[in-house]
Amino acid sequence: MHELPELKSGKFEAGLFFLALAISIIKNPIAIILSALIPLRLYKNFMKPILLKINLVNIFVAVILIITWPNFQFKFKDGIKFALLMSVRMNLICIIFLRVGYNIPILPEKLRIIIILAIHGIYFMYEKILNSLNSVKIRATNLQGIIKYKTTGYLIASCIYRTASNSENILQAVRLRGGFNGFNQNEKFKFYKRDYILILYTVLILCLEIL
Amino acid sequence: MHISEGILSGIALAIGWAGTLAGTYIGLKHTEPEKIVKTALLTSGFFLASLINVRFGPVATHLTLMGAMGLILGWSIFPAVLVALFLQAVLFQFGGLIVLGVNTLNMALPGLIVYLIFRGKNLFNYFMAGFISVILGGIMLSLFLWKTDENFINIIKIIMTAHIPLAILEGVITIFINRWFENA
Repeated sequence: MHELPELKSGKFEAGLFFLALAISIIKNPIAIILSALIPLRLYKNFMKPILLKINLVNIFVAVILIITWPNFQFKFKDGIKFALLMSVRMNLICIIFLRVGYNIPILPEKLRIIIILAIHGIYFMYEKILNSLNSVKIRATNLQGIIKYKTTGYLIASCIYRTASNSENILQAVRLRGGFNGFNQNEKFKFYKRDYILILYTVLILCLEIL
Repeated sequence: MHISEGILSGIALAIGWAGTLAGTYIGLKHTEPEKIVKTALLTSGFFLASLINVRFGPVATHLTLMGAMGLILGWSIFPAVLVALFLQAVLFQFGGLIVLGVNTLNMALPGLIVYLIFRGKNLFNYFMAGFISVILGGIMLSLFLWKTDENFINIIKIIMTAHIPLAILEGVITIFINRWFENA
């Protein structure tokens, strides 16, 4: 009989959580650069493939935003600016959430799992939606009337269907790796010294944003 | 459909958060462990699908898919919408973190109501699920605005008028989504 792999317990880094929330609010470029320094310090080799996929999603989302922005013109740069800002934020937030997101003990366990899987699911699904959109564009360049809504409805439904079938595979994989018990083995909520330092740093960034 | 930060009064925000927390608590109770992964991935699916803009006459709009989500997820719609709107708030700044409670309640409660009312599998129910969910969402949004300040009445009229074509579009697309599932 094989031994079950040892489940790692992690610490909740409260400071990083607050920093992630601050990143979602700030708009000042200097504040964004400053807030990027700590998440980038957390960057490890194992995150490379994950971040690569996330950035591919960013490209997909950016393309969708740029193409579908109302009254799109090439001189209209708001869509591109918005997509770039979103991309930077998404990278920073993902680095933080992937590092500490599994260990947020304030939230109920089920909700925590839903958040983590939903974040993973976004880049997991982008390729399928992109392929579907491309195939629609190739096969029907100028959809009109009810056919357009029928195509959109079928496209969304097929994506949801594929997601549901993929979720069965993921559920089996989760069960094979010890079920959802791993989430219970984390340490209890506790503030560490570094959390206070990070919160102070976050406050400074927010001050910079306000000033 | 998203209400921005700094518009609603404290009472409206508190009502929104209370409703959302209660709904999420009950929703999580109804979400069995086997359903968690499905709920999470459907959340990301709806998150991405709602980014696709659809042109309706001269206007480009993005779908809310509240009716379809309600019919598929049932009670789990509350945690699903909460997570999807949280991600939209932190990544796109659609809505915000303080109004997350109100926005979640506005989108999840209509989805849940249509799930409880329109369970029959026919075209009328599918259309009504999509249509009513958007109209209910618009009414709830209007109520929150009206509760904050009665001077919002003109904006409420515009919002409700703008919701009618979106509701028809949503109803039609909900029909096709469910028809696809029937044929699959």
